[in-house]
Amino acid sequence: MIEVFGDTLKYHKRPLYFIMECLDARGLTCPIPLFYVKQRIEGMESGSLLEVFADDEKAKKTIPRWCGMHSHEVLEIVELGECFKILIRKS
Amino acid sequence: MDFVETIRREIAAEIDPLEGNCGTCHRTLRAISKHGGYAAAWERPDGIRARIIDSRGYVVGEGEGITWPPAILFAMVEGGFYTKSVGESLLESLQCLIDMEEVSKIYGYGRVVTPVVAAYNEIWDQGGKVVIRRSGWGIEVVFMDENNKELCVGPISYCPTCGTAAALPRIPELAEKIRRRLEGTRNTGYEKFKQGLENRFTYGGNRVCCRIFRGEEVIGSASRCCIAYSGVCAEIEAGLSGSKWGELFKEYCRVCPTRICARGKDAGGVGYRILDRLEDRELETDVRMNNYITALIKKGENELGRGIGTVCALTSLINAAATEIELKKDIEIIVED
Repeated sequence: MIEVFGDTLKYHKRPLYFIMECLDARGLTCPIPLFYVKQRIEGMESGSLLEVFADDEKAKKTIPRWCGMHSHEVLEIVELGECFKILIRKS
Repeated sequence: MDFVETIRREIAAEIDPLEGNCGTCHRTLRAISKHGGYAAAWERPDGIRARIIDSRGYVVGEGEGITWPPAILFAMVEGGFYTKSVGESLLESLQCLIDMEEVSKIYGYGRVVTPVVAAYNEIWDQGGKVVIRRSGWGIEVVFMDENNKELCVGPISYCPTCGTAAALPRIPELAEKIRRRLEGTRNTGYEKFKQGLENRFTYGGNRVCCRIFRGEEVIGSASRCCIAYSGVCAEIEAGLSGSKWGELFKEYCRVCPTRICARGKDAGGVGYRILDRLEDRELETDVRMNNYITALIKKGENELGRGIGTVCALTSLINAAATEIELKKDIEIIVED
């Protein structure tokens, strides 16, 4: 965790303990991945992390856009071959 | 065979793209009801959350939408009631989760008729018009100015009302004007959210039945020709709606010229097919507000038919078609199919 977010952690002075949740939305067509992200984030505590795996290109745009509307922070979007990962910190 | 699989197999051969997503949603709800399930929906600040409940009381699908019917269809797709290709086609007209939240900033809690009526009036007052047209399994709404120039095209949506609501945020000045006008006005969705009410939709006979629950108690119920209309009428029965709409809707069924519900048809499926036929004949459909949502069928500037409807322009369209002899034949053919 510290390695992944090294500078970000220091910059935001976040606690070093996070709850990381994982959502596998591969094979699902938008807007279902976004719906699952919304549902999952609703049940999470502020500051905790959600790691989303998806492969629908539309989700790569809609999930970060929705996060921006709600001030959730998209920490990274990583291409992983046939899918991608979006890492979100709940506001 | 489980509940979802039974229904998926049962409706697979019946689903007709011509009936669009609204017709498909109603067809699926009919099968769900037949097997002892139902659709439940709740008002929320950002729209509607829906669940499909099976005959044993388990949640088998969950979704959300700008108002009840698209939220229910979303839950049906999420629950796996369709083949992959049909599900993906239906999702194309459910792409409005972000649009849904934008609409909720104008007037939330899943209420779309109120801002849509305001939009129709506003566009019409400025000499423009609101045109509806089919797009895939959904509907596209276009706002046009007095010179027939497109002001904006909304996202592909579930129905004309949802499409108009989803198009609104694309004209920020208009959206802001309507938001200000509606600010502080009574919102039935908010009242229901505050009271924690649940809407349950089933098919009873040939009509959609909506029952509104407060805990285990049914406080209002109504059976009508579509999900949205039954929902609004159940609110009237429950004493939740304003008196003006109550009187208008009570009156509407008495003057409905087609009575498709008595023949086992839903307004969505018939409306989509009518719209399809009109487009084949290169006729245009223009929607406005005149107490009721009113649809005009036009060829160029010539008006061929005009009809009033319930909470959605598809019913207005069916009734507009019923006013013109050639178009009326189309309704007869579709209803007899």
